[in-house]
Amino acid sequence: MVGIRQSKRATATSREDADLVARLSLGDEAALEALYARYGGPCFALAKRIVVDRHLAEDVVQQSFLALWNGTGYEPSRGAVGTWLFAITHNKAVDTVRREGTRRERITAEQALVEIAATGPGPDDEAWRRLRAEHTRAALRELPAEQREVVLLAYYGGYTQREIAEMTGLPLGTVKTRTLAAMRALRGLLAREAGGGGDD
Amino acid sequence: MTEPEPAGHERWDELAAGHALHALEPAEVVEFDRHRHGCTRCQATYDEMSFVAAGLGALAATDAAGTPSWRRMRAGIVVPATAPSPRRDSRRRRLLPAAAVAAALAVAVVVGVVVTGGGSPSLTVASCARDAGCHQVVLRTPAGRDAATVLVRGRTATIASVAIGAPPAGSEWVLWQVPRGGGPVFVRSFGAAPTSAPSLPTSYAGSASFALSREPAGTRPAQPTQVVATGPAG
Repeated sequence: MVGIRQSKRATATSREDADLVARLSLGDEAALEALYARYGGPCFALAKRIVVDRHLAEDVVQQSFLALWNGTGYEPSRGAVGTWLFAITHNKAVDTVRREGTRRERITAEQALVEIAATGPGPDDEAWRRLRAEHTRAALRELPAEQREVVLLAYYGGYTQREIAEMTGLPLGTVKTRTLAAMRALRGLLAREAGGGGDD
Repeated sequence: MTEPEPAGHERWDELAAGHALHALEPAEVVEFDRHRHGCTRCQATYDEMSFVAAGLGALAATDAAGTPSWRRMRAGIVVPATAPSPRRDSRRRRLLPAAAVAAALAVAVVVGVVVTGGGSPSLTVASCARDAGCHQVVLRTPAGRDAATVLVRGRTATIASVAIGAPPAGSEWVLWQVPRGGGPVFVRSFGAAPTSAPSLPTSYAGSASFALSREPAGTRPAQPTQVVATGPAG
């Protein structure tokens, strides 16, 4: 199984985050605020991209940090808090779209890719996060179109694989197979990028 | 058309990929979560897929314009339940105002956690046994299996052990206090990571029992929905 290495900068950030998470366990609100300062903006941006409505996005982010504050779901031994925050934010955003019925116009995979390509990382983004975003963008472009499509529809469109099968006319098994192939390819591409001088 | 099932772990890998993208049907989520908690290979696969998915999130996380300030966000996270959240739309009040949280609770094997209302020292089973003012409540499942041990001294409760283990994915444990002649009162929720809770609503002498329930994560129900263990007080 291919492991994904982190840059030195990312490793330092992970150590800082681990310290903040440990302080959360002592009820240190300043630690939560520090984590919000680091991840609140990116989480909000991610939520807003999926749910579109900024008030719903705000709800999503609040739920995510509430879960972090209450200690429900995050296991430090399993990964970085930033990864977990992105995951829970994404999941809650998708759940919101599915529940609220406010799904925007059917987003095509290519539309999602164009939007992503158009909005590059901002100057305030931490360097390692910029680098990671660039690596992910490059990796997505290297995927075959049919694999990229199912991943983008799932992640940014909030569609289940069954819905993607219905939308695209593909057998459900094909959607699952392509999704797995895409995620494996991304995993390999990101590992290659991280190992190829991603340290800063 | 019936499609052939993928062989071996391929099917689990497919579920891992779909799960990381939050694109599975609910039944698939339950099936995969049940499997991965006992399969280190699939857990590792899922963790790696989640890392990849987080990369997708990082791509979208570039337009942070309009991010709510911490002051605004804090109101719905840290302030006590009685304080109103400064939301414009009351319909969105499904967001649970958090109880004042403080300490951390790790639900792994057996963990000692303090649920304190005001600076009391940590309790252990041993120290509680030596203290005439300390009471030990063992919460047991209907099958008689120990689920958790709660130590109570004054209005301070310590969850000394959680033998039942971590709650299933998407859910959390909730501790309830049942006063004499009354219904269960929410004390605190906890999951796989540290948390805290306010002091007990009722004195130990006024308690009939304690209960442990399983609830959807992030909720604060008025009544327990799925009680998994109970234990008498006194």
